[in-house]
Amino acid sequence: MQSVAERGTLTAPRPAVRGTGKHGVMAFSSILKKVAMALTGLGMFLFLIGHLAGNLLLLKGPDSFNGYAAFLAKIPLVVPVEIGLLLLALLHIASAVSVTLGNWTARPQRYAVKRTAGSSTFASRTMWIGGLVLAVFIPLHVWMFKYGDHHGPQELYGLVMRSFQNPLIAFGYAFAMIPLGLHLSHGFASAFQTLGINRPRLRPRLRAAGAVLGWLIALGFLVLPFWGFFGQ
Amino acid sequence: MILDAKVPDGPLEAKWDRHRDHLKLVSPANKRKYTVIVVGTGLAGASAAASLGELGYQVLSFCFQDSPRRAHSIAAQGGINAAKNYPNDGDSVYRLFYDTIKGGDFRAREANVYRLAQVSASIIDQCVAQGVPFAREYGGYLANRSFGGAQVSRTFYARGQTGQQLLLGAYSALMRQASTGRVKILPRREMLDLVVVDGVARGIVVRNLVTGGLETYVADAVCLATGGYANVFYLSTNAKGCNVTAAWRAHRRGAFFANPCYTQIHPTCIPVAGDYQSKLTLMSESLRNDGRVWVPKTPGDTRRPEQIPEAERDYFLERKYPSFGNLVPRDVASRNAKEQCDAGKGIGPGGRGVYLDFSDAIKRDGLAAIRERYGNLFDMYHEITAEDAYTVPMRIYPAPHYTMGGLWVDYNLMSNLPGLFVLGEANFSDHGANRLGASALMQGLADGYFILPYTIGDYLASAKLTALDTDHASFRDAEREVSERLSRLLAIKGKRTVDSFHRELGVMLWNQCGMARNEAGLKELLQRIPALREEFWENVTVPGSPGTLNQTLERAGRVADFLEFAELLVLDALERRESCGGHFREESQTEEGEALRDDEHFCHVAAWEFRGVGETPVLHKEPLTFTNVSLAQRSYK
Amino acid sequence: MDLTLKVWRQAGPKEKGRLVTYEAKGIPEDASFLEMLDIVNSRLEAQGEEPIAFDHDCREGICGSCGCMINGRPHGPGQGITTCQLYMRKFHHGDTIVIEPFRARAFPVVKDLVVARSAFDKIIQAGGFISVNTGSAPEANTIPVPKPNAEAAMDAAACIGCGACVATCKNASAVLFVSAKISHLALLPQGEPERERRALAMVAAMDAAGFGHCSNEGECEAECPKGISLVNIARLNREHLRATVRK
Repeated sequence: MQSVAERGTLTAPRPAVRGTGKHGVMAFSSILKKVAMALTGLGMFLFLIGHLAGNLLLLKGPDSFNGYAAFLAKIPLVVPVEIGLLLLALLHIASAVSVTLGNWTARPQRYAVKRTAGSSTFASRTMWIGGLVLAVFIPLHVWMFKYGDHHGPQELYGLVMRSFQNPLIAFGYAFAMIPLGLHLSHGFASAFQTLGINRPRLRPRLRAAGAVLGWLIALGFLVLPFWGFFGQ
Repeated sequence: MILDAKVPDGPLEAKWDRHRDHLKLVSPANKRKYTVIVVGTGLAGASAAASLGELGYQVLSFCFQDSPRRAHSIAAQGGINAAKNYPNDGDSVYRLFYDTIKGGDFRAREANVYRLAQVSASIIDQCVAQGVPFAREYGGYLANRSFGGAQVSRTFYARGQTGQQLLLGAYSALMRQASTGRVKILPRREMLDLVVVDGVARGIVVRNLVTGGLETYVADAVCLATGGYANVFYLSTNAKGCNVTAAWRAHRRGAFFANPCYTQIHPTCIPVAGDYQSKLTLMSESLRNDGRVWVPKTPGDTRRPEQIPEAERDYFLERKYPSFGNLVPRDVASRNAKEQCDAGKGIGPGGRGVYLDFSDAIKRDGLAAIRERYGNLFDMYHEITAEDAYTVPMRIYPAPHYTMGGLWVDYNLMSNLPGLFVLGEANFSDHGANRLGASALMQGLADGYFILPYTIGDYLASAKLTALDTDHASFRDAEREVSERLSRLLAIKGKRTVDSFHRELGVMLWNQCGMARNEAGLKELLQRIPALREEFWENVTVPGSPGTLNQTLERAGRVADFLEFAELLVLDALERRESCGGHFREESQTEEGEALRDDEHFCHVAAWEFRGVGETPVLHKEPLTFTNVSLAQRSYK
Repeated sequence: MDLTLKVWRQAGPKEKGRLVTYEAKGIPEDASFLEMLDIVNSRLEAQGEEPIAFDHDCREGICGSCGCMINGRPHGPGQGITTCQLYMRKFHHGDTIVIEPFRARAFPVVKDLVVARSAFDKIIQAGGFISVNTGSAPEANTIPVPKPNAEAAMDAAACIGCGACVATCKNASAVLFVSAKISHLALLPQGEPERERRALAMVAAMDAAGFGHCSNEGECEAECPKGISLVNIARLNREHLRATVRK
């Protein structure tokens, strides 16, 4: 049996609150990491809306689409936007990796039985898987359509349509839109919550808006490969 | 030995102020040289430890729970009294004092109760500043409700969770001190002995409940804020862990135990459902503000409540006590419920229950208002009984709830052992023979925030304490005795479980030393309790080892102490041949069946001195003198 | 009713644990879940076996001591209740019930179903208070608080610190707990002076304890016995962001 003498062993008073002040707080708290993920996610969400609007011009035919591509190539904003998007994506991925690894280590021993109370969704539970699929898909996608075998913007329509003739590409592309839809449908409302924008009345609306917008974007993109493969 | 309560001279209203003016002080620079042990982290313990830390003392704060926030004060539902007179209904310090002393059936020390009423207002100020979310009116000002035993609205509340919110306030203050290092938090430790050196309390022995190891701690003063002993009845509204061990161990070391027979049986609890039952759940007394208590007029009426017409119901409290009605003090309400059930009019399983009916209140104020006031209580009732109290009357029955008795303390909250201070429910001081609703929270916080921090300084400044460490023989001896006792419990390896002994003791006490007591029954108990204790020490089984978390061993130690303590409780009840407050001797009642005090022979505090297990303790009497109130027969008619 | 229990038994913090099967026969349906465990334990004790260790105290849903995973859910089936408020009538004769401790890196197992939740105390120590010394408070009614704010503060303050939010969160995140205290104090004028310091320090303490991040799924809210809302987490995020910007 141990014996502890406590007299005089107490440490001298420390400041009332530790971890505050200019240098006390970790550079990126868990919440700031999530904020970074939310802001970058919302940024890419906005981009996707524009991207989809442009891409839907495919349906109008080669002239419209190639014209749009040529217009983009001409304006000087493209490069800064591309760099910006790259930074958004990298920051999004970096914070996601950090957050996800932290989450995995937070419970070293798993439960033998675990049930949900019904609040989480398939989308919310699979964010990291969706993220991983998109992290593979997006570089391939950029490589294929931006640096693929074509001769300038006037030829882009042809490149896309030729690519979608390949069933592997068309169906691979289409398949990747499912995790995108899932990812966006949870990510949208989640980002607002992370940014602290969530009043009780706003909450169901944000959730609904996230699901509707997310799936609309995914479906919009999904139309293209199918149209490319079957449509012509 | 003459018990000196050290009540200051002077007029009642000036005693506390004058006393404070003349207490010795410890200078700011010297405070850090003193170590104070505080056992228990309920309202009294947490508020005391935090306040002492703020003053600069080194504080060691102990609790048996895994966190200080879990102490049983957290379960208090109804509210906290304070003489603020916000509702402008004529309240004053004097009225709160008078209601409390009358509610306690004139068995409390006048000066203590007056002081309690005086500091009550500061408690509310302190708690609001801490961020306790008390109920408010639309103007943003604090709301009040009425409560049993008073004709003014002076009770502050935070929904049905007042105790929780007050405790979390005190806990947050304690955590703030812990972050400064002035208070060291030592959770999951149970005090198993008090160490007395040269007649002065100087430390404690605790068991580290996680490792099973014994630890000893030295200090300049020891404060016990270890709650009450209602679990001696096994079934009570107390948390399962509540126990008498700390107080009883201090008693065995020389601290006098005062008025153990003053136990409070709360009128509004959910009735017992079966023999597996582990505790009784209290429904806040505030329910009596809107609920009407009734039983069928005919004994043995088994119709469902809604089938019993108005004319065949007996609203017995309203009938017998027209001016207080359903808001009579707890002891009166409980005894009347028992009386109705004894007459065969009880309802529910075994006929042990009365109705608490909200249908009139719902008709008057609307369902929404009642839901807002009591929603969580109704939900709780539904979870336990699977009945909806919005449509069917609640069934309630009295249950042991609070104990007014406790370690004897003087006006400074110090026991007869120098250096041992006792706070909150663990002491005997302010509630006399019966506590009014919403007064326990008030007393716990008064002791911890506003009384002890002053009086302990006076003791420390004047006591001549030698430097000690845990190698001192008294510490070694105490630790060895605790260790031997634990080994003995583990070595019995008998046939009966700890709980079976506890249940048996509880039933015995409930039947013969519960809401009503008589000489024959008490004398019988004095035979049966020692016999049960003997069997316990021969036939209990405590599996497991001492060197680990062992919850059976924890319970065994507590039950062993209850088995010693119960005898004192019964002896005190036998000795007090009068009825007062929660102590109802059948031999002493008025023609109408009300409690009849005997001021000529029993207007005193009975403080008992331990002389050994099975030995007759020595009774010391502290006479109670009343200079500001006249002793009246309590009447709530 | 007769039940089969699969209970996590672990002798100590460093020992290996496993699920052990017990037959619990003749359990009354009006018994609470903890009373069911009491019955099983007293049978074990009578056989001289070590009973199942579990934390519990008030047994009326307010102290926050009890809590274990019951068939994969903290505090078991049902909403707005703690383990002690769960009654056996929610189960059926012949059911198998798997009982595990709350699991998180920040909540190490002490024994069987008992876990250490002192990380919560550490978080409160970091700033979950208003710095007011005893005796320095002004007259209570000099601080009016609009009733809706007082009510919302009370909603948040109702947290009992049981840890069910952490236990059920797939990331073992403690943000619901932290947000409850932050919200309680941020909604009151008394909390204003330390608002920023609190929002930074409590989050730092939470991170240091090894809890995971919030994925905004709301499982915590759904399992919280006191119905603490996700809106509080949004408020925590706001408070933390605001404090970071103004630092």
